[in-house]
Amino acid sequence: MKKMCLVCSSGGHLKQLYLIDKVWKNYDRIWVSFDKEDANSLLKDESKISCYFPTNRNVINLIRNFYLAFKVLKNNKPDVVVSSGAAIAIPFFYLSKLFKIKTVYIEIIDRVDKPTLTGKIVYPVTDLFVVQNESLKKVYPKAVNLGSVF
Amino acid sequence: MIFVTVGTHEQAFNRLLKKIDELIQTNQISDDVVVQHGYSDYKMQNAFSKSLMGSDEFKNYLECCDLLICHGGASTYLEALKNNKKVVIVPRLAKFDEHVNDHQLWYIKEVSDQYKLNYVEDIDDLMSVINKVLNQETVQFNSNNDYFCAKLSVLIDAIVNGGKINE
Repeated sequence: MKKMCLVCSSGGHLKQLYLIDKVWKNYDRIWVSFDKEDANSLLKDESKISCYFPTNRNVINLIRNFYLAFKVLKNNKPDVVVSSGAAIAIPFFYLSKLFKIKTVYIEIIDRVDKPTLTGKIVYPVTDLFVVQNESLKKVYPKAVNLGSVF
Repeated sequence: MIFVTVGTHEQAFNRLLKKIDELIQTNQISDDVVVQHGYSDYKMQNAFSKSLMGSDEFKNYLECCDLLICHGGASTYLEALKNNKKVVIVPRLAKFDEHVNDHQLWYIKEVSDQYKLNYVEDIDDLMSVINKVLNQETVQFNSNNDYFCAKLSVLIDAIVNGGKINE
């Protein structure tokens, strides 16, 4: 079975990634998310690694998460990394590019025609960039629009 | 029971919590109220309040409530609408340091007709919107999840197995 690494903040980013369970249940998987109650309880039956937070415009945790991402990718060797953001995706996606691991980014639903900062940063290195709104294809021309994940 | 949730975003949302407390204090809200206050530092005086909840506890309050009042996190209100709940949305606003920008409001305005959303920009309008929502029927929610997952599955399989993406 192929292996998937799922990377996300807790809260809405996690909720949206969890909603594609029909996809990730077909893979061996490891999750990377925050050590917060909602993430710990939702992922209680999953393999989960906690990353550093807050990640919102936080450079120190970005650096820490680069070291964490390096270890996770080296130790687990996933076939694909899937993320709904937010900033935790950045180290995982750039290191995946280096290690030739495939990457899938799902832009969060509540963007109409303005991208997230994370989306803009990872877009150049993402193999499959998914948006949930057709207007976002003006910002991300190579994206695939699948409509709402809900 | 009214369930109030401000999500897990790492900024306070005291504006909503203070208004809820005031409405309970002045008997405009007489229902039981349960609050998830996240990273807010305002202490609720008139309702049970908890900072963060596990997913089972959150789901339980969501299922049992007669009305959800939530911040503008799309995952929160879309999940609630999908479960046929009555929802009043109060988007976080940057000018009050509630979020990094006003994307919650921008998105709500964009999809308001599509999902028949009821939302509040001026917090003083909260009670009138609560009354309006309590007196109207819920709207059917059309889920796109099966289509999303089916297409995504094919696309991911393709790139994992070395193929190219064809939409």
